[in-house]
Amino acid sequence: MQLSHRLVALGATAAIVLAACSGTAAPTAAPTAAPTAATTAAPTQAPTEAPTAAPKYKACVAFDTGGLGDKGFNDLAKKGLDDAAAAGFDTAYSEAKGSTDYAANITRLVDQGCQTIITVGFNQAQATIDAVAANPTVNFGQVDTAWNLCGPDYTCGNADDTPYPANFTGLDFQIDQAGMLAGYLVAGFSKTGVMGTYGGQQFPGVTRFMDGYAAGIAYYNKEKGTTVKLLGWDGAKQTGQFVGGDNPWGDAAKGEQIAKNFVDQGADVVGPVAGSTGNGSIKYMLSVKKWAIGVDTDQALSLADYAGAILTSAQKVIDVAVLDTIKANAAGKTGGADYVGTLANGGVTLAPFHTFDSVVSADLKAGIDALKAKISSGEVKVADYLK
Amino acid sequence: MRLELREITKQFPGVLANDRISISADRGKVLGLLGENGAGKTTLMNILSGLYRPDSGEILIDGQARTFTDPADAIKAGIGMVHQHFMLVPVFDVVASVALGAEPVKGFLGTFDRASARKRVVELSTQYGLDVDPGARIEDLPVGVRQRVEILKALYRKSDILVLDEPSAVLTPGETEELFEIIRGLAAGGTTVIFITHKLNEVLEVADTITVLRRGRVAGTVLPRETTRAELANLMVGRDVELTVSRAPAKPREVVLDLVDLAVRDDRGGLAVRGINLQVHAGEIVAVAGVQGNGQTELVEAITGLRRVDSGSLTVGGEVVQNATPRHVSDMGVAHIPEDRSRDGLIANMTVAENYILDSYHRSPYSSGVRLNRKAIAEEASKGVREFDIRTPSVETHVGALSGGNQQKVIVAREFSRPVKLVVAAQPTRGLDVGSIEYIHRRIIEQRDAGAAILIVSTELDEVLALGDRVAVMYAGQIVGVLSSEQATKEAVGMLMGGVH
Amino acid sequence: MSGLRRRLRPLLVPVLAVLSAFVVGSLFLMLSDLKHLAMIPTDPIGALTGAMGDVINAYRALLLGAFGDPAKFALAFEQGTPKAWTTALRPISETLVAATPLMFTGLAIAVSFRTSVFNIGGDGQFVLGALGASIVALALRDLPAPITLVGALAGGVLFGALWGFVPGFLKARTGAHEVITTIMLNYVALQIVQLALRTDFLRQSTNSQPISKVLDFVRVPLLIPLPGLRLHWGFIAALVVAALISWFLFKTTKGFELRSAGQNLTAARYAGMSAGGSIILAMVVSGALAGLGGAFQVMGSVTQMSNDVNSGYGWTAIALALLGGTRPGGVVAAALLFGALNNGGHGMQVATSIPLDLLVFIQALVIMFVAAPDLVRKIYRLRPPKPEVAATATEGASA
Repeated sequence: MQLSHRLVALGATAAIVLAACSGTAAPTAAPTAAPTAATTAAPTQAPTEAPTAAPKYKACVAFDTGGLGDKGFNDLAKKGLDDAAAAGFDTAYSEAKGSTDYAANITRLVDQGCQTIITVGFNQAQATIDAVAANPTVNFGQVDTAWNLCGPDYTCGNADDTPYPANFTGLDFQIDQAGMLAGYLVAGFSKTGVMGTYGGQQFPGVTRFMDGYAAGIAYYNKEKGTTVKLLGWDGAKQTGQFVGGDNPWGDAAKGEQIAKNFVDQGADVVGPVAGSTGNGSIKYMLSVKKWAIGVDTDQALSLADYAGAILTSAQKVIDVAVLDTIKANAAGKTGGADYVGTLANGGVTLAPFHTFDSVVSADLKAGIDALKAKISSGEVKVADYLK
Repeated sequence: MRLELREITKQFPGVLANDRISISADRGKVLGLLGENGAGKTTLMNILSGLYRPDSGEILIDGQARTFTDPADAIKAGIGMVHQHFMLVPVFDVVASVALGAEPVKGFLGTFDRASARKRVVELSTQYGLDVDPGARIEDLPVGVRQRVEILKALYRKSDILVLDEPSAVLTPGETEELFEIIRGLAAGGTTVIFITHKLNEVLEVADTITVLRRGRVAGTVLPRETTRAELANLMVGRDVELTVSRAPAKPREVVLDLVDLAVRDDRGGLAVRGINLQVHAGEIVAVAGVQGNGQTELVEAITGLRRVDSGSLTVGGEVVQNATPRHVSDMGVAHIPEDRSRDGLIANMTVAENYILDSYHRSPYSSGVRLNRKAIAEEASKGVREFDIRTPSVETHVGALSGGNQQKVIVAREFSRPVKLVVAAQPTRGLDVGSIEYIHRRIIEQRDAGAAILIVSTELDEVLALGDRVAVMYAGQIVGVLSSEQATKEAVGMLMGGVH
Repeated sequence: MSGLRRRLRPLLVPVLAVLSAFVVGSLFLMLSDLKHLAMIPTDPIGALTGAMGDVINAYRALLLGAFGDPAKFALAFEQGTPKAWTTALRPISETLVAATPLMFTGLAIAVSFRTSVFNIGGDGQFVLGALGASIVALALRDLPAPITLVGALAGGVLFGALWGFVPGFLKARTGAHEVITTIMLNYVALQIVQLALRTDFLRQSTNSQPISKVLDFVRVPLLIPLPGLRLHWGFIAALVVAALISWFLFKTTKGFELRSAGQNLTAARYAGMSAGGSIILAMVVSGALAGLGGAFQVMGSVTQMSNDVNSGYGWTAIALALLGGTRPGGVVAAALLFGALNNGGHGMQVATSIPLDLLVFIQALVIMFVAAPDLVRKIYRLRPPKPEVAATATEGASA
């Protein structure tokens, strides 16, 4: 019972406005500009027949109702699957029209002989967990979740602790590394020298972004001797501003209000980590011609209406994570631990600047690249800049 | 052109609709095609207009045999149809309606040449005396004028043979007179006219020859000056028909319906009934005569609870009923035969039995609170069908499949199936054939003799005179005269109807 | 005509309509088959046979996905293990699971159409029913399971009925057209669900995303006692409700009023029925049915309230009500057909990677062919039904 509590959804971009999902899902080019250093093979066409006769490993993805064309997790996961096909894997996938399809689709994929099944979207978490228990010989993964070992209240050492299933991989992301790059960018970009950040609620998946911003700014200050400030999060004390209340993740009006408060306090860049509430903040920043940092996906694409304010996003590179997980499963590592995307393995990244590419100075870009190299090599650690 | 149909036979599953029918009409003559509903007139016309193909027999135009595979063929052959239900687009103007489907075009793009269409319409309407404003919108035109537009449509397509299907059914007496003038004019101009009707007076008045159909066969062909109404009725029905039901003098008793200074507004908020005082006694028939649209509809709706009373009082049997619900009024013993039976009185897609209980389904024995008692419904409906001689295959037949006369009988049977204190009957025999008219008149008189008060509203002068113990004439929302049956002559009532008093 | 043939005759057009839809669908399948299209210049015969082979494979997958694989049934009989039976029965079980919400919403819309009220708000009533059930279930979670379950279902009925009452009342009182109000209320309902899913009361406490706590502490009992088969008593309930609705419409006084008002509102009014009352009643019953469907969906099939608990059931229902001739039996049959198509389509999609949209396309074709019986008759040269004129003539001639 309450197995669902074992999975922790880490995403901070909640499902976007409903109408937008169905209405504007025009077939668009997948984000070809996905800045992944790790994806080597060029994306080829749909799954192709393999020339080899040997039984191939079968990797599959179950999409959620956001569906293909969402310019977000689903499309990126599809790209990962296509890359797997190009790398010689047998692939299949399932589309969903409603929540009743999730459990059924996973079963269908199992019946198809899928050996790895990666599910996309928090709505499928329960169906995924049920399937993990029911099919011990199939390897599962879920995008953007981590296995919660320590019970619903995150306190370990209690009776409700549960072991990590041996056939499950949570696709988790060291997003604070990408966040640190974003913080560094903001510190160098901000005209006022003040950034604001806040979260929906104080969850680990949320504060990691905020840690990253704090560390990036601290690093910049140290490197350049500046005094850029971060409002809304104290990395050392791990305290900060959260929406809270009864509707922390969906209150766009409140998001606007929070952004306004930050601007009143001098901030010209806001980094909300609060789902649809955050969308309100980005909207406000656009209206006052200031800037915001996106989270999870390249929000300049998934939230195209507000792209004019989105400087960049601290992005989880789902396609790399999906491909890496499939490869690991095929190589015999069935699960039992989270896959962790890092700057080093290409699992997290700073999204492209898009229209801001010409605005960000070459110096600043060079600084970001240098910091990225240092984080990748382990020379710089986020935690060290939170003190 | 001369039209001749020879030995036309058309069989539908289970029924021989036309059985070796032969008719003919010479150029410039009017052929009256008389018959009851279901006698095969419509089938014959559908064959003539190319909608059906006959199983055997032939159509000759000017002596040449023709076959029509679709209505376009018939139009090309010069046959124009004016249907009972008009085929006009309400928002089009007259020119567009007439030209629709045969528009003159001009220019490179083939755009609608409105000017030349308009010119033709004006020419035709002056030539045949069809007085129509070419720029008027159809929906703004009265029914009689719409019919002229339909006739224009046929003439516009160069029809030499014009078929009019029950053209007077929707017209007022005055409009009918005008229509006859038009028909005479058309015939004089060389058009062959086929005039389909079930009304004896009309064929006698306008036709050059009369062919009577009965049960899919020709019952006889006669000349108007050599025949009588009684003979025609006999040919139509197959037996002698009492054209004016005889009745004993009324024995009026207490007042049942009492209207005092009654005023009622129409849908647009204008006063339709302007202060009416009228009493109807038990055991008498008061017939309200008047040209359609003089407030009769609103009066009936007010009495039956369907329309709010603006001022004045309305009592039935001493009880105030203004602004009561229709159900309350019906519960008091008021029977209502509505003006438009298919719109207001029946549900075409429901069965005879269901229509039979339409306003008493909630009462015993039909309902036990929640459930309907199917058995009781079927039994009672079958009884009604027997008693009122309703010709239907079964009580489970959809009422829309019955002929007009039988539909009206269903309504009358329903309304008279419960104790009745007052009968309000609006146009009770509109569109019915002589046999059905006789039957329904007889039933109404029976109700009177049984002690009910009867209020008849009719635009048919014959009906008013045949039934009314007293005749009240409505004009412009008021009662402009009440005549006893001795005083009520065609001329006297007609003058009052026209507003002369 | 023999009794059996007469009974089967009404099925002829729908069956041929489905068949035609699949034939046309296969043409589109071939046209979208880029791999084989590219082969045409070099190997036209190979391209054609290859493309046809793919179509056959796809439809085979669809049939197996909808009704099960005979081979697996044989295996189940042979082995007799629960696991073998689960595998064999799962497709048909999933077909019925997919049909269940469609039956509820289809009946809901049929009731409203019977009364000539065009309830386009099945979606909103469905999701609010699901939401109502979730809220009541969580509120009563400490009570004995049967009470919680009945309460949750009642909550779904209540929420759905309320969402039907509003447009019904507006139409009866102000004449506001129900097509517009129900469509608008669909959006309102979706936003209410979004909002509710973010409240602490419903939202999973460890989750930043709008999805409810898992409601598996009380669940609609399963119909087949095999693990892995989701078919629950909601399906039986839908059948019972269909029978009840049939009884209500055709055997009760209120049903008589609704049908009368639906066929001819003026005549119903003349006969003393309350038009406004019929409209409101029809909308309330309609909303309640859709709401009950939502409740069974969340308490039976998915056990978790989310913003994608609905899958366009309210819209599909419009087609089902029309396909079923607004008769409860017909709606149930249409829902079963669409359940099979939906479920089989998912099976086909997973097996062949053909996009799910093709399935929607085939469904649209089925609707089109059923809606145009004359077209089907023309294609298959069937005799038209007796024309109405003939029927009238019959009455007349016998008169």
